[in-house]
Amino acid sequence: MIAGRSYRYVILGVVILALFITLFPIYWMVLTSFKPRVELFKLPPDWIPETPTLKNYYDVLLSVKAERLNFITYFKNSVVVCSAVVALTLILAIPAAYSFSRFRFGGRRTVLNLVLVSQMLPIVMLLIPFYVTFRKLGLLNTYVSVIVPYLVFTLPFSMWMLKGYFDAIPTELEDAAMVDGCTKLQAMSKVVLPNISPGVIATSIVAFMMAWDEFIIALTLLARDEMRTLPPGIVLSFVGEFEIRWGPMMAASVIVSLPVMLIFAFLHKHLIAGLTAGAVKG
Amino acid sequence: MERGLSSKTLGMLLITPSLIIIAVTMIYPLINVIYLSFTKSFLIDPTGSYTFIGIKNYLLLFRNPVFWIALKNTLFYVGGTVSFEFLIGFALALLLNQQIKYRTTFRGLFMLPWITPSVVVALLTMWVFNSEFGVVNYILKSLGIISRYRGWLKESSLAMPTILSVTVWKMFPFMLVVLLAGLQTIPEEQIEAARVDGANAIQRFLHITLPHMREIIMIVTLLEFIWMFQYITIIWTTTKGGPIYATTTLPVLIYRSAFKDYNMGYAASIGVFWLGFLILFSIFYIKVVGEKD
Repeated sequence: MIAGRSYRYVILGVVILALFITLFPIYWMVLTSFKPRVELFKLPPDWIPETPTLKNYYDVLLSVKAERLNFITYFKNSVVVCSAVVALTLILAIPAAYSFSRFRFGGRRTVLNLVLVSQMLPIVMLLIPFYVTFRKLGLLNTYVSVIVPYLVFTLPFSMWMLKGYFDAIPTELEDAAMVDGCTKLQAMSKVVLPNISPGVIATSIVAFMMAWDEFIIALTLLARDEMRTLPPGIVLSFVGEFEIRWGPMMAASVIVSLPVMLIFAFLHKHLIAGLTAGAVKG
Repeated sequence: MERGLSSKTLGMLLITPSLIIIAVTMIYPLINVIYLSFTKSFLIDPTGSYTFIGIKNYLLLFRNPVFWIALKNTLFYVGGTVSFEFLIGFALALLLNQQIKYRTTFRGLFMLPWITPSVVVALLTMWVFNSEFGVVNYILKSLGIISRYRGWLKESSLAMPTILSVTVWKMFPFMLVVLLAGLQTIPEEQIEAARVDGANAIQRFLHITLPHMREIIMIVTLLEFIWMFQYITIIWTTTKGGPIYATTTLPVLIYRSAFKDYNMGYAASIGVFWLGFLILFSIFYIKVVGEKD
């Protein structure tokens, strides 16, 4: 019994140590964002800020002097692009996943294989035809030019995740509704759909995170500064400057991370259930 | 039973929009790129004309030492990240699967690097690994592990291992979470029965846990392998493939060839090679790891 308990403490100790190492870089980012400029280069560094300041956040969000940092514009662009990607992904993936779950197209592994192959397509390679086509159509520097390529990775992955949720709902549920006079389509929208809302939430989060994270497509297809999303926007604003402004750079990093962190804080159970649904069921 | 639409027709109707999008965003660009790889075509050419040159791009590619360096770097980066992510993720999943308190909270906190946007991870890397003021230099020197401050992203022998470690840090939580979910589906009675029969922890792990986890392990490691081939954000932000070619992986090489040298045909041929390689690798991997013996 005592051996069992001390064994448990050892495990807990190892887990806490691993967690400490895992979280330290994030702590360092937040810490740096609150440090005044002079404190950044102090050695040994302060582990807790001596004179915390909001100046870095002010510089990022409000300062008109901070040339070449249209942070608010990048943020707005990111929100528009990501919302559109999530909406389109759901509209397309929900019916498709339902169909894959209820009707047999090929074998058990069809969707999984589709997902694997779609993830294998080198995005940087597909950027070439996207660039050429959008240039021809005059669509470079528009939201459309990134929203369409983003579906390459959000759509198959979402179909796979959602199929797992549909699979878990017994077909008897729809059959019962149809006996009661619903059409197949009504049975799907009124009976099945409400039951997979956790799956819809999880899929939305993953699609949102994928789009929020994307860098190289946006960097290439949105060359005009006022169209840029956050990832290329902040990289081009801070990296390559003669003297990197570390404080504002870390403040910008914190703000970019906040939306996904907040979503995660409230919905992480849905997200984790969704991520694991596809893989665990195979 | 059915009214109006037959169920097969309905099934087809529901997937048609997705299939159209997949055709437009994946299949058409893919065919286009395969065609491009057999042509000489330049992005800035105003006429947009292509000259068909057969397999010349591929011959040039295989003769180019930079391609082989990039391939070697990619395999090192992908192999390294997937192995370490798996080992760390699986070890922590096994620990968290024990009866410990606050398991959900721990799992949530371990997810934070994975939630952090890639660009943020890249900028943070530049700061903590900074050669003059980086906290990593300070800590390692204080602990006596290094004798002088190093340029983690500037020295060609250090840049790749540094970026590899950062990628492992960012990505291992995904493995952890999926593997932990897999471990929780193993029926408790099976493990208990083995314990009663006198199997020790290692035997239980080898004969119950591992076989049960085989399929999940195959899927997550393969997905991660495929994803890491693509992963360019941290490299492009921190080193752009340098110093010299130390962190040039295949996506970096394609991006440079297409959008810096404007040589689209050549860039396309690298992509086609990569896709072919991944398809063959995946078939092989699924055969070897996935098949039950």
